[in-house]
Amino acid sequence: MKRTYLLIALLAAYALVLGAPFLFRPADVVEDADEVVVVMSPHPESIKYEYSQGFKRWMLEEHGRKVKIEWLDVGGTSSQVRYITSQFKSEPEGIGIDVFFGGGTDPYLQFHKKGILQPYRVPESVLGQIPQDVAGLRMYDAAAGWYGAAVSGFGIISNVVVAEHIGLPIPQTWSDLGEPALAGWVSSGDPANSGSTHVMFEIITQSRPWPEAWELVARMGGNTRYFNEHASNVPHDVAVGEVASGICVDFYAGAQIAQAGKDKLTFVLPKNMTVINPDSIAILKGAPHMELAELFLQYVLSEAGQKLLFLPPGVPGGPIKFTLARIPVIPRLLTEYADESVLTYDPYAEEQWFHYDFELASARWPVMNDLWRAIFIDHHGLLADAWRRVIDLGFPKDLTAELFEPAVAEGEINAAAARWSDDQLFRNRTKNEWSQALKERYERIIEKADSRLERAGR
Amino acid sequence: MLKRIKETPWVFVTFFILFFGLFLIYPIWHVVKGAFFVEGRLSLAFFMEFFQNPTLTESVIRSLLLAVTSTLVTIMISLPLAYANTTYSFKGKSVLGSLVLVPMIMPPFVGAIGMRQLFAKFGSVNLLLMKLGIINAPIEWFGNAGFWGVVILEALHLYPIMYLNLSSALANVDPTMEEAARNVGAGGMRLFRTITLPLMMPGVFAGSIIVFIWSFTDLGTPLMFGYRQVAAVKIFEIINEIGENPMGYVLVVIVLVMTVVAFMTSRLLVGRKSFAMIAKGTVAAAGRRVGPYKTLLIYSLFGAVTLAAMLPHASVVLTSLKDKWFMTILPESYTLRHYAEVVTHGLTLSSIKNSILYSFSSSILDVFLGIWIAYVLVRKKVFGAGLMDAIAMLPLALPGIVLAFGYVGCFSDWGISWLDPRENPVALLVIAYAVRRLPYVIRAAYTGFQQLSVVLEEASLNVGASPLRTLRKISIPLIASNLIAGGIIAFSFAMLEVSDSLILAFKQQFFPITKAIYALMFRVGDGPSIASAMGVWAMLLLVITLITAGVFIGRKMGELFRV
Repeated sequence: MKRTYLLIALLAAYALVLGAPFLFRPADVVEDADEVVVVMSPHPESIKYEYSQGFKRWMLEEHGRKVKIEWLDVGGTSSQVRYITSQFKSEPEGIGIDVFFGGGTDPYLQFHKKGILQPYRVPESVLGQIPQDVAGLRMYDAAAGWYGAAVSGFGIISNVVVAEHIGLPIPQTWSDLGEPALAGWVSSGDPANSGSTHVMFEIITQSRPWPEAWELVARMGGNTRYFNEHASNVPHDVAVGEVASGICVDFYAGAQIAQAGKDKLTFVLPKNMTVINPDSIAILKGAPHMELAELFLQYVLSEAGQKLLFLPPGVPGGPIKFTLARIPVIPRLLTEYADESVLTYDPYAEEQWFHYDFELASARWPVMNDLWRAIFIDHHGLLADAWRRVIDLGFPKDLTAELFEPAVAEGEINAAAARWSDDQLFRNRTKNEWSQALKERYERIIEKADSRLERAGR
Repeated sequence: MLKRIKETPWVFVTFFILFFGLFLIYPIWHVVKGAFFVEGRLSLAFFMEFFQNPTLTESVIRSLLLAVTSTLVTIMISLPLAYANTTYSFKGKSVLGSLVLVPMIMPPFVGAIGMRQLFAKFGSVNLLLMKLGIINAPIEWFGNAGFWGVVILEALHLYPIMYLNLSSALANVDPTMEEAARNVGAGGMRLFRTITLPLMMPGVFAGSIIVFIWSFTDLGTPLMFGYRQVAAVKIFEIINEIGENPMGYVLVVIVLVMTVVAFMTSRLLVGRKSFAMIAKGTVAAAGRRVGPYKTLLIYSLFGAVTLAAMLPHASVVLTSLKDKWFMTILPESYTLRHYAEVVTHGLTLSSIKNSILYSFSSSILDVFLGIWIAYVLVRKKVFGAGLMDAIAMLPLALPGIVLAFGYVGCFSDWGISWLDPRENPVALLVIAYAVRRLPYVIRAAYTGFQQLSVVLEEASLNVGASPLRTLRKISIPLIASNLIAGGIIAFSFAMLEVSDSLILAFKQQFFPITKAIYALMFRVGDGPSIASAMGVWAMLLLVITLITAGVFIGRKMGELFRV
């Protein structure tokens, strides 16, 4: 008898747990669609949701068609880029994907070079709203087929409470992140896996002479607590007080600050170093639903699509549920909707710009990934240990110089870029040499420092 | 009659070759080919390069070290638990027995974000310790090296598997043997060392090889604690360049070879250490009654392990309920908002439906295949049995991400929509889940058949029952506890499968729970809370599943879970 009751109880429990989500399911979640457009995108769920809803509504209202978006997702930006490139190698005529959406600009330059973008010129009524370039920076390339669809700003998110507690300054520039006081208090994404992190390291690298860039990158690597697989973990690390500061894109910081409060977290765009990077969109070669893909691009770039980016949820023309906190590509919208906008900054009003060389960044993208891995990811523990010992010893000239001396010349990197993806043996061999040399270097410094610390009786 | 056993089962062999040929060997071949053929020519250049690359070779050594240490720690944790709970009888025994299984109900990555909040420098644990005045400055819990952090998390996640195997083996130890030993004066440690331990060795090896290979190829745990210098992470870093850089293939091939060797070694050891016991299931061990002190000791043992193992779960529950939580020990305020999100969100709903469908289908497939394969391999002298066993077990050694990529690589251009994951991944997901978890079910059935004396089956055959009838009437009922344990592991792990799901489920409409959780986890802001609310839902479902299994097994065998 007892067992019967138990079984009945269990059945009831099953019914409750399995049924609960479906009982409360709202009617409008499932909607019949007659057509689909297939979009691969590293964008977060919130953007996908808002653009799904927005596009559906727009298509119904403007064109009387019932459509839906099928989102594909195989990981972060780099994963998706590698996936698409790899798929096109085996199926050069098309891979069943209509549109690639997000991930910065560099993937689009790469795709264009490889001939896997489908050139498409959006109507002048849409294109006319978007500046062709901002501070020398191209916002779209209609001939190639890619268009900036939103703009990212890069900066530093900091935890004010933690900084106060341990008496740390709040970093205002990239160089501040290399200060010894921040050892162990910085968080970063893995530049080889997160496109936005990659761009930030590339900005740092381009904005100063090579030896200084190498030193800063190595200092930041030594200071870093975690290199996160996903850049979105960075604001979380900062918010929970695991670290004090992290390198971060504006909209991740915006979402985290919205949750924690402006008195607790803060975000800065490094001074004189403003770089915005169009987060683009393009149709891929051999798109199976070409006409709908074209309409999707038109929608995303139109005023209706752009307003989703910076308006708070609930206002007319704004998103339904999420604060996206992103910069639109139509500059006038920011002044026009200044009262309603959730953004606290207008980069289009900025005067100090850093001229980021997209062509260079794109050409050496995979080489820099491997270089950064060699400098601060392959032997992250060793680098952090070596750096801490150099700090403990009061920055002895010889060890400091040894730790930060570029192991590879910039010219070598740029020259290697051409061979990198075609000659895998060369690539693996070179990458291995870098990694090995730096490992030995860090070990050597630790050894020397330890014997000095021992002699000093510490 | 005995002759019948020696006939080659052609149906089995044909099916085996077709199934594993198509869904295991062919995709692996696709991957292996990439390691040896550079631009269409056979070449060892990348292998040479691998052995000259200390970053890669050291990553393999570090993985090996990590796996060995994790396995030892897992045995150390679960052996006393399994021994205490099988040998002794005390109040609350069934509750403790089921508590042990709790960590299994959630994959570690779900708890990652909560754990990072608990153990952050200004996280709950440090804040509590500082408030109590135990420490002045925050402790760095997982250190820069992270080795022990990963070992502890692996062990805390994997000890239930070891526990299940050890308990299962212990429960199958014929109590008359121990009685006999006690009758001739052996007791305590001596009894354990000379009788019980040797008899349970098949369980120790079965558990060890699963734990070893799991921690050797686990990706999520090292990744989330930034311990990146291990083979699995290296593979993950290279895997997306699979079309371009053959180094990933090389690393995969080397890891495969090592796991296969480890597996063969364990097989050899199990084979040498197995003892058949005749009086299976006829004498139930009552369990010796113990006094209050020993009971207390057992309680604290279970309590400590369970508490430690449930921290990630606690962090998920807290994250799902938090409203505001900024650098305080517990959230400042709570809300049920995130649960409302789960039930109104299209993505979460469809993923729940998908996961149940995929997992259920794959575990049914697993139990069916598991009985068949284990039966044939243990009981029939099939030519090439060793090879077939190695093949069926190979998925243990195979990081899910590799098999999944193999599937994408080889089936995408066949033009069959149900075999093309970009069109419809349902069939491939079910098969991938089944193939990857099949070894657990085979292992479970295998251990059962091994400990079940063949004499019982021979008796049945001798009185004229057909092999199928014998299997149905004699063997399966006697090893049911093993099968149910295997089936539950298959279902639970399928519900919690991460790597196959991440690769194979391209389209949101086909996302299983894990991929939906994963996608939500990286939504800055309330994403982790919604993901955690889904995690709590999944935990509830798995708890009921485990209790149900306990009810059935408890009645029939009474020895496995003692729920």
